[in-house]
Amino acid sequence: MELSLKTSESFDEAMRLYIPMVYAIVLERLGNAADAEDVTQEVFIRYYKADKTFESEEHRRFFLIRVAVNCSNSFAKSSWHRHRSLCDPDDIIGLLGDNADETAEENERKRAVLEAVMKLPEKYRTAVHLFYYEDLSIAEIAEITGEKENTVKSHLSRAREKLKRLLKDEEF
Amino acid sequence: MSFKNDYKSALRSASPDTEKIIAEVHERLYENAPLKIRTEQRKKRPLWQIIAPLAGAAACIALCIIFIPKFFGLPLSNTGEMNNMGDMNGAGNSPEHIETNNSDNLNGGMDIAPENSSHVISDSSGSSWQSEEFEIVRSDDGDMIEVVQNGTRYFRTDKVRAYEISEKYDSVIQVDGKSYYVILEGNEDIIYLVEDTSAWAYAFEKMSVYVNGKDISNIDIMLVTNDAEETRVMLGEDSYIKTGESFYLKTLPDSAARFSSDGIKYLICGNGNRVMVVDTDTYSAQYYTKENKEVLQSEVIINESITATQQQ
Repeated sequence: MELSLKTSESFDEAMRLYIPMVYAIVLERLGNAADAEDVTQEVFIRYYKADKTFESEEHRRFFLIRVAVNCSNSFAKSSWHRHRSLCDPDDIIGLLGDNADETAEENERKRAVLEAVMKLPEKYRTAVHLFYYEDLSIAEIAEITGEKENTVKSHLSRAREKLKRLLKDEEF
Repeated sequence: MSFKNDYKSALRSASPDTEKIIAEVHERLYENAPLKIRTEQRKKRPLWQIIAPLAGAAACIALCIIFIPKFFGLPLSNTGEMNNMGDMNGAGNSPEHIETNNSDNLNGGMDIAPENSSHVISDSSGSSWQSEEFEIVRSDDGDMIEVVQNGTRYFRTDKVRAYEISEKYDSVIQVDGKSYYVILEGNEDIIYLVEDTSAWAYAFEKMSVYVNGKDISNIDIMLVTNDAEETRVMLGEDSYIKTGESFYLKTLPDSAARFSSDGIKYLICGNGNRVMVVDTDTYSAQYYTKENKEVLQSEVIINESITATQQQ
């Protein structure tokens, strides 16, 4: 089924399609599942209230990624978030269920990868997520985060260095 | 094992309860329901974190009540006495030597390590390293990456050797409470620096636009990119591979050639078999070392070569 490009139409279908994407961005940034659910709700309320008609599906996706990044940043700066314990990798890793189709070693590797990413400084995590999970280019990440391409490049580069130290068997 | 695949696969396992989120969005949008605070799911703050600030504030108030009247009621005495201030140790001629402690001093998360001016506290050679200002620049992992002596920059090479306790040094500089022993080599183009707690001497070379004896300011320079990341730099036909050591500079080096690639401007400088490439916008710097030409044949060169122009 083709979704309407108007925000107020096909709203539920659009949510079903994009909630996993938005949730993953927010979860990666905030490191807490309950906060990620709240911020995901906020993203879709803003999406609905924006009352926009998008040029394409890609345009809609970009809009949602940008709102998700902005909402996560705002939440991360809020006093509620700052006064609680900072991101705990166990919060996310606890969400991972073992996939019965995969070996214990594969499940363990996935956990290690996520743990390593969650150990990165917050400013690097968004760039890593958008580059590796959403397959965005450096120029697109720069546009979404409002940073210069060079800054995104250096964040990615520094994140890779840190990840390589933590994940010696992984190829980047 | 690809990081990208593992990362995607891991995050997909942590999928949310989509229908629950949709239902709550509906409630908020159509019934103006407030955001549900899922306190039971959130990490509760430990009790001591709530009680401790209150107890601290109460203790402060109590102390103020007790001591302020006494303070104003008594004459001031014994103020301004300072005992033994300014005593400094460490100016001896022989460095204290701690065996095989090779610098695990991590600074944890600082983008730019503080640059500190310093002074020479001992000198045995009468060289120009006497009574100069120094800065030591460190990477975010705490490694020494640069020494700046009165504006002249020396950047770390990959040379390192053991430092013998009986070995002569030319100067001692003191930075941020630490002593560093300086050993000069050649025409002061190379210096070795030994941290007072280290058994290792790290070589630093004066920055120059001469790399392996060639002036690089008039040769073709290009960055070779693989998967959106620069992996090597070409100076004419010579290839230099990225070492993975990256850091930020506080100021840009003067003795450097300039070039641009993909719209980004860079400085490059070096000496011997090691060069440093600095992004002039972000001041992020990368080390590259010379590699064998055979390895290069299999690489794909993406970027176009761009002629460098000399800065000075």
